[in-house]
Amino acid sequence: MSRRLATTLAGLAGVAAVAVALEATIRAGWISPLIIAPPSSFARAFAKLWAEGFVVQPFLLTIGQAFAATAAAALVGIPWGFWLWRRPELGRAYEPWIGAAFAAPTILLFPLFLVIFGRGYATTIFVGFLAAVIPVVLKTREAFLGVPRVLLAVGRSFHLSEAALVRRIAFPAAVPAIFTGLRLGLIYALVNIIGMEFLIDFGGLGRIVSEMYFRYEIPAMYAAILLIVAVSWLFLAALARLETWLRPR
Amino acid sequence: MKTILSALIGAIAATAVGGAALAQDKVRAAVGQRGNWDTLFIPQGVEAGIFKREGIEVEITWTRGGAETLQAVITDSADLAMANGILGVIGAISKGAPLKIVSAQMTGAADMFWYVKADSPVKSMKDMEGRTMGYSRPGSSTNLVALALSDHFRVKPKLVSTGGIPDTRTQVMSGQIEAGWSVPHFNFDLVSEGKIRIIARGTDVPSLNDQTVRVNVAGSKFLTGRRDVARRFMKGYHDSIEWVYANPEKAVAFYAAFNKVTPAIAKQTYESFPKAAVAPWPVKGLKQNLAEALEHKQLEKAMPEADAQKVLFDFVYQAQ
Amino acid sequence: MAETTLTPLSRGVAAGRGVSTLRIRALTLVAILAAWELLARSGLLYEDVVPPLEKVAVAFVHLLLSAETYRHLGVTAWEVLTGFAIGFAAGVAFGVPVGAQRFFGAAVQPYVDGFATAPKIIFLPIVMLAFGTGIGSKVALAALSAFFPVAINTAAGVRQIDPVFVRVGRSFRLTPLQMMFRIYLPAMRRSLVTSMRLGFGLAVIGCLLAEIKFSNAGLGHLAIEHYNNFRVPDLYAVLILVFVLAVGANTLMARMMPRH
Repeated sequence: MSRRLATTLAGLAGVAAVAVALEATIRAGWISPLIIAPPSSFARAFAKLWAEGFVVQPFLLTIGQAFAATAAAALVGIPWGFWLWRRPELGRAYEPWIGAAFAAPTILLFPLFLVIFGRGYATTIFVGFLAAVIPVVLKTREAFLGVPRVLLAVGRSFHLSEAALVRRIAFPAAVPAIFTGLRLGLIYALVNIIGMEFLIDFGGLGRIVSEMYFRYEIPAMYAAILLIVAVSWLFLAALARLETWLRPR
Repeated sequence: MKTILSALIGAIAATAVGGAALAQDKVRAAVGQRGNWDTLFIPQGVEAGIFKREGIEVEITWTRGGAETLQAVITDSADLAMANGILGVIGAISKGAPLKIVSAQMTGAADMFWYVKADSPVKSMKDMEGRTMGYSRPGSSTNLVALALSDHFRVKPKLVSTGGIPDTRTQVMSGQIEAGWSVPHFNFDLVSEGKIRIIARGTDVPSLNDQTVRVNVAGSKFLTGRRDVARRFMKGYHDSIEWVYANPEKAVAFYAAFNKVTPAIAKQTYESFPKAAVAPWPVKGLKQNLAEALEHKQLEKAMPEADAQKVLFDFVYQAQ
Repeated sequence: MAETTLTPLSRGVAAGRGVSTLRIRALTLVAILAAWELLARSGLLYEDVVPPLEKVAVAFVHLLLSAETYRHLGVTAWEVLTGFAIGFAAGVAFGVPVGAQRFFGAAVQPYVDGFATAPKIIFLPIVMLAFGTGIGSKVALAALSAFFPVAINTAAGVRQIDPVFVRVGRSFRLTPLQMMFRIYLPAMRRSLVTSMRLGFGLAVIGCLLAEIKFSNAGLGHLAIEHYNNFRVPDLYAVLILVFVLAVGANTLMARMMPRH
């Protein structure tokens, strides 16, 4: 048995064991089913969610917003990151600010966006955009900075123009790292958007959790939360796989 | 000897009386929509000494509305949840939440109103055909009243869930929706500044006056474990309402100070809430509410009225 | 010109470089503030949703002078610190076996990654059902938010420990607890520091978001109260304070605990 298969099975077995243990403690009355829904109710709750249209459409809504936010982040962030490299004095001046912005809790500012944009997609996508644009800018600049000088020297020795040097040498060399930035941006956008949907009761998957909680449908709430965890992991894994596939080296 | 004995007896008696006065029962009440006229009865009653007279010390936790208030009681962070949409309560109890309805909180929709921007072409509900109209959340009392208004005026507006009062205001003022919902005193400032116009009120649909839309709820643990305290609290609640409507000037002044609004707005608010609308008993329109709970999926299957009486209610104290 | 743009590591004149950086930053700040003021007074957005800077400044001063602010700040600070402490301890306790035991680590990896990536705020209802709607739930959410980055970083730190140290510890037949405190933790100082910074930042966010969603006290609660009553300049003031404190706390941690 391959090691991968062994660990996967072990992981699944572990999850099953936890589920059984939870079920037992809930049935024994040590934990109230009003606090933790018994795992045996999850499947039915999930089926009910699916039937009521609370799975596929919200999923597409959330993913759609994440892609929109990342696309906007790419349109703004890549040129910005490129410019920070092209004008090193700007790059040096802004680098600590952008680094600080990366660590800053921008999502905490969302009530301001609520006031300005209202309770709608504009707010959720804007928060997603803010979360995504910073890693895109940082990684883009890093990408261009990381272009080997040798390559550029070769290009200049062929008397290539500025624009041609960028287009034919710098940019292609920078693409893999730029893609890493986009990948990070997409994950951050997705996570922040789900969080926003929960906070403002609007949109896709995040809203479902909030709605089930307020409707007091606890098993459905747990089903929705687990769905989000699964979606988060799938996205992470898929994007990582995509990147290794795109980077043959 | 006699004087010492009598002094001793006097001292013991004084301590006993003082002790009894100090030993007030603590009640934790979660209340939604801070500062609304109909949610201020408890603070008004505390201020007037009514709860103290019943030996109750009230600890109020303000929440942002119905479902959040229920959660406070369900998680045992509060003993009572005041001002909850009845549909949500029916749903929660039917799914096993350890709660019981102890009184009505609002019957009819005298408080609700819908408004548009001053420059809007809409003059009344009749002009709302095809236009966007907001309500808070699906299945809420504002949802129902919006539907009732549409039916009554025979128009088909586009109903949109706009969330709370501030969210709704943003959406109206920025042009995202045509008409938004509100209750006094919110947005009265915009009315008096001429920036918005009221185009519909809950009172426009008379049949709503026979339907209780919000109720007060208590935790089952509280009702069984501290039943006498619960009874005294509900008596205090009832007496507070009586006091408010018997002393309107004082009540209006308290409201104005609490919410930092002008006395004029406070008086306007008071006039929007007839005493009959906030009467704690009876809970009206149960059959209609059960039907709507089923329609809006709060109830998974129909609940007969007779069962509902037993499952939903526990009027630990009921005046008259 | 070609030289400077395509060889950004050029050694410019040190003094000149410093001055130009300062000038750029100053000019940028001025430009941003000017743009703000322009937007505020343009009438493009309605009703002061972007208030003139003066109003925000006044509201901010008001905020700093009010005793109530410090009461709320105290609540938030308590929730964050307690939650972080719990989350950090739990994260390290879980991270060490995950890193040390290869098979166990590989088996739980996808589940840890999934839970770690998901936004922690969606666990708020579970935490409220378990701990009530008060301070307990905020502490729990802060702990949950801190737990994952700490656990993941700790596991990574453990995996990078020189196996020689581990073998030495085993040869002395140290108990698991002794292994933890005498071998693993001292060898992982750097990653523990990184864990602390990441975990603390996320604990702050988790706690504040929980307060914004559902609470009665704390800075997040204060913010949402202003929002509910449409006191926009006050909302800006509270959020600016929150932002400054959060960034300040992070910077403080970075200074106090250098990477080396």
